[in-house]
Amino acid sequence: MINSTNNVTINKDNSKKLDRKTNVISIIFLNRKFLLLLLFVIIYAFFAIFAHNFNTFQNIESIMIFSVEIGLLALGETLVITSGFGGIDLSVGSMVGLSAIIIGELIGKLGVNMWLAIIIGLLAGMGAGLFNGLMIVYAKIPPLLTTLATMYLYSSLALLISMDQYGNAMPISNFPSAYSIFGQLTILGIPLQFILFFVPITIILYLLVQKTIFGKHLLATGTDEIVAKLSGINVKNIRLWVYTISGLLAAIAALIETSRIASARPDLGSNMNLEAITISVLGGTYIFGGIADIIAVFIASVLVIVLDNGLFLIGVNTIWQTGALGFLLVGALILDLIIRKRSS
Amino acid sequence: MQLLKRRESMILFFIVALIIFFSIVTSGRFASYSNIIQILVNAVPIIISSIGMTMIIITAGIDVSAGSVVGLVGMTVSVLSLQGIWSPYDWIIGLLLGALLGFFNAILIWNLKIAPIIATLATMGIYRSLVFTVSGGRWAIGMPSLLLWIGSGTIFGIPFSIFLMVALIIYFIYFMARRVTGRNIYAIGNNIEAARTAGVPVGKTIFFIYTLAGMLYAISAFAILGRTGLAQSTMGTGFELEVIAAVVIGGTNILGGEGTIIGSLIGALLVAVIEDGIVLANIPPLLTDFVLGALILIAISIDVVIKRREIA
Amino acid sequence: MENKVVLLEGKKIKKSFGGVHALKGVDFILNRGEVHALVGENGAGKSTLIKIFTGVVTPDEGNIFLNGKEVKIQNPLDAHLKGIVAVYQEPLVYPKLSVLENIFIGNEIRKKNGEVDWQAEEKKAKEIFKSLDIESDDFIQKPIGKLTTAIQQFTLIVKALNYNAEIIIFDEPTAILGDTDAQKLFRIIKLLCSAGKGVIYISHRLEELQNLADRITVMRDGEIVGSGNSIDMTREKIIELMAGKSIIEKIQRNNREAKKETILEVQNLSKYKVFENISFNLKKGEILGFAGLVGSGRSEVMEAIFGFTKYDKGNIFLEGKEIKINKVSDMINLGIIYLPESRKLGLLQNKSIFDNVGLSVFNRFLKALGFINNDSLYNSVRKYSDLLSIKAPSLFTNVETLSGGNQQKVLFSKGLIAQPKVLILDEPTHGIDVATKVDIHKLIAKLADDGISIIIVSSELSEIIALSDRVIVMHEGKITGTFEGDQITSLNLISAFVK
Repeated sequence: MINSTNNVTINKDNSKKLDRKTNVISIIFLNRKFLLLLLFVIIYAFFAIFAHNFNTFQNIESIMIFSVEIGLLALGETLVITSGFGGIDLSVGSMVGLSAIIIGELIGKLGVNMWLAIIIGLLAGMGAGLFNGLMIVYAKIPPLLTTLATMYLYSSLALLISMDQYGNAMPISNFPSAYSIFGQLTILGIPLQFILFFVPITIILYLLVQKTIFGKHLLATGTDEIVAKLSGINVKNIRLWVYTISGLLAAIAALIETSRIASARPDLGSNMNLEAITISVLGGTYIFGGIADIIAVFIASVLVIVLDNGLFLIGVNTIWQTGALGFLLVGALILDLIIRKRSS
Repeated sequence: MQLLKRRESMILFFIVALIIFFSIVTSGRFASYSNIIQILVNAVPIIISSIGMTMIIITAGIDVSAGSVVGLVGMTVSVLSLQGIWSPYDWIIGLLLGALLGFFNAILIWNLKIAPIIATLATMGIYRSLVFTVSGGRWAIGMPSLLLWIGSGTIFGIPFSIFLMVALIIYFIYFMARRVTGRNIYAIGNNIEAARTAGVPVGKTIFFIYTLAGMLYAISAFAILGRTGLAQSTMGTGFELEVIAAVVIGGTNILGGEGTIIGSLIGALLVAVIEDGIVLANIPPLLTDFVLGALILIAISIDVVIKRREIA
Repeated sequence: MENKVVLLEGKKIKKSFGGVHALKGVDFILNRGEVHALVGENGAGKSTLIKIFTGVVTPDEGNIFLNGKEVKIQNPLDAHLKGIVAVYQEPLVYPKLSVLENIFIGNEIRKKNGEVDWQAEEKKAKEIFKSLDIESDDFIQKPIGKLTTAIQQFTLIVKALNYNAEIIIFDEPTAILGDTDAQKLFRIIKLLCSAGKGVIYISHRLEELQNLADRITVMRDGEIVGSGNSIDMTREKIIELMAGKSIIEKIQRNNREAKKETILEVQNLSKYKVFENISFNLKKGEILGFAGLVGSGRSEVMEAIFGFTKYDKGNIFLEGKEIKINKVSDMINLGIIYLPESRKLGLLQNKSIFDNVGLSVFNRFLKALGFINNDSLYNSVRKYSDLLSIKAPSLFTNVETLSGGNQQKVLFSKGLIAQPKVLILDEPTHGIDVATKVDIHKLIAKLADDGISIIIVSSELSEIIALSDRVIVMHEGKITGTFEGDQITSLNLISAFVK
């Protein structure tokens, strides 16, 4: 029953513009995107001044390259957290390693066609994500525990697959040269993975969340599961989908990373979990679900890589990157608290 | 004292079965006296930390910063002792540091109302980076023997750390059963609103458990130092997951409200038995993580199934 | 009982919630050693009065006296300390802890070294149970979550006594108790009274009250309309007082009398322990009212029809065709819409009017690839928000900033945009100011005139009487009466839902 309202005379243009304007003004104050952009400018300026070789084409290229892999994971994490019910995915890092080694073994050891191997690897990532979803939705195991367990499961599965007869984990390095296009090619100076994967995927997810029925349903599910159910939304399906997408994004990240370093190791991604979740929360994702700002998460990914990169160039040890991340996270959460207190 | 509930008995049975299995596969080496002691020694840090983690999870919280606390305390105390500062009392500094790190977690969780998973994920990162500051990237080796003695010294041939562990376990079993704070922990996990209205000091209790957990992680750090004799900046990485696995497998409900120290002890023993057995039986050690992950899933699935039966 | 000692007194207590007067100036006295029953339909103000005595809310005006001295009750803990405790239908317990612990958490008996003295606690608990004539040996150590509701309630009574409670309030305790347990409860209450406590007892089971209560007070619309010794307050008198004398005006309707075809038919719908053998039919353009007390099962029946929850047996027919599998999304597509009783269940508070109104019908406003046709959806939302005169700066304002009445209108818009054939409204004007109430009533009448069939579940008798063509009364999960036309009077309805 499509509702046809084309005949209704409403002064649509004016009232709609009025609606949008009032809305923008009230949101500007609390907009995470603007805050992050501001922070980005400040941090970038800081390093441009104090860090050697920071503001060079080469370095900017480097920043773009490294923001892709963690950024994809952060986007996946965002969808999962937004779905509510304590949604979180601690297994993303392991799913990266698992997909990586599957692709690697198929191409390197079994000589499978590159594209076929990639497709299988992506399917494997989706399968791993789907398994998470099934445990959470049907076995009703809390997401924290499920993904904690699958984190172990998937990483050891990856190790098992890569094992040789003596029980050692063997990385794969014999990729065909064509494989390097994903992680090593640049188009007009811009890394392919950034312009052909990260940006388009961000845009797709943005449109998905903001403009499609799936997005509306996802936000409703995370905001209030009961209201969503009473409105006819299939909450179970939504949740299965977001975990599957998280797995897919992890697999894409694996594709890009293995292409970039021209090798597949089962432990790839093993310390990306914390960073992915932190970037997501930094990007305004509400830990209890229902609120997601894809563009802000995108900006947050680049921001964090800029921070890591800058710290590295200044000569601060890499371990401080993790520390800075922790501080950023706490800062973002304090900000959230203040904002929430203000509006109530 | 209540009898062991079905869950703990099941796991004990499983442990015994595993011991038999591994003994056969390793032609008896597994069940040797020295190996059993080895298993216990390996289990000690996990068991001690599981005491604090059990309390935390009973209140429906979680603490993934445990490994980073272990690393930070371990490294700090090693560096101090190597430079002769405060010796031989550097372990007191370690305890205080652990308490401080746990206290900070509590501030994030209670005062800033940050969800425990996020708060401790953040501190996990912060503390881990501080390990590096303290160590300057170098390993710490050759600490004075008093410090190491906590972890490796023996009394009548049995390592001191085992005595320490037993003492702590016994005390905290008593604590959870008979001290008001112990009961309050359960009350908070069961019905935080009712607890609040009944006058239970919820905030103070939260601070207590996270701070205590920090101190217990510190003691675990001493035990690990004693066993390995060195500290590096990756010390404790992944430790929290072993502890959480032990607690969850041991019957503590991740949603809060129930759990026992004994259960976590048995869960930790199971983990230690599996880890040791796999190495001894020449099974690829990489399989350990797989087994741990699968066990967690199985344990919780069983919990869920039992719960559904109860409701229906 | 010779001298009446006043234990608790409330003078001229007033309380409003956002423009709605819950209590309009109530005087209430509870004497030592008496059971004082409070009766009244939902919305009469009973629970608000209780909430004031237990510290859940504070009165806007008025004074409270405890043993002659004026007090202010700040919060539930404060009420506990002052000796006032309430026992609800769904007892507030620590499910995994034992009965004994439930009694003593927060109030432990300690030994000299600070540890809990389990033996002393067990002894004291058993004593208190004994004073209530209960043998507690077999359950005192068991986890309370696994025990019956009766035992849970008794435990809370013991807990209250352990806190030296002087005043114990029961809110509909026997609704989920069986007969034997109910009798046990009455004996306990009698024992409490002879020990000098005061009991406030809320119930709709009038036959219970005759034996149990010393005095009965009837409330209606936030005021006390009658009070006296239980001997003087006969069942008829109570019902009369509850119903009131005012004649409720029925809303103007066209075609009120015309017989129309059946659009919805429900046969023998049952759900174990919730509702039983519910059968009725709904005619096109009719307004069917479901009256009854909170907890009578009406909302549960509607949730089952809507597909939100499962039922055990029964059949549902829409326009003659049976609905076999019921999922909410199917029901919405078929034209059956359910607007739940609390705005919290029906609206996403931190989302905009636009997002809320469109929530169930995004699938009808799609462009390619799942993209939402924002323009046409906007027009639709605008149309309904104008129709209902929703007052808001823009359609993108968050609903939590709107008044209760406007939020209800948003909920209505959400229902109407789905073009329902059958519209099920659950407490449609709950907590809304009078002016908006009238607007909504007029709207409901108009919708029915336009051919939409409406079911109204409401605890406000005046609303049901004003709007309904027919009324079905439910009580404790069963249909206890059906009324049509002139038969729809307060008296008849109330008689059908009190025992």
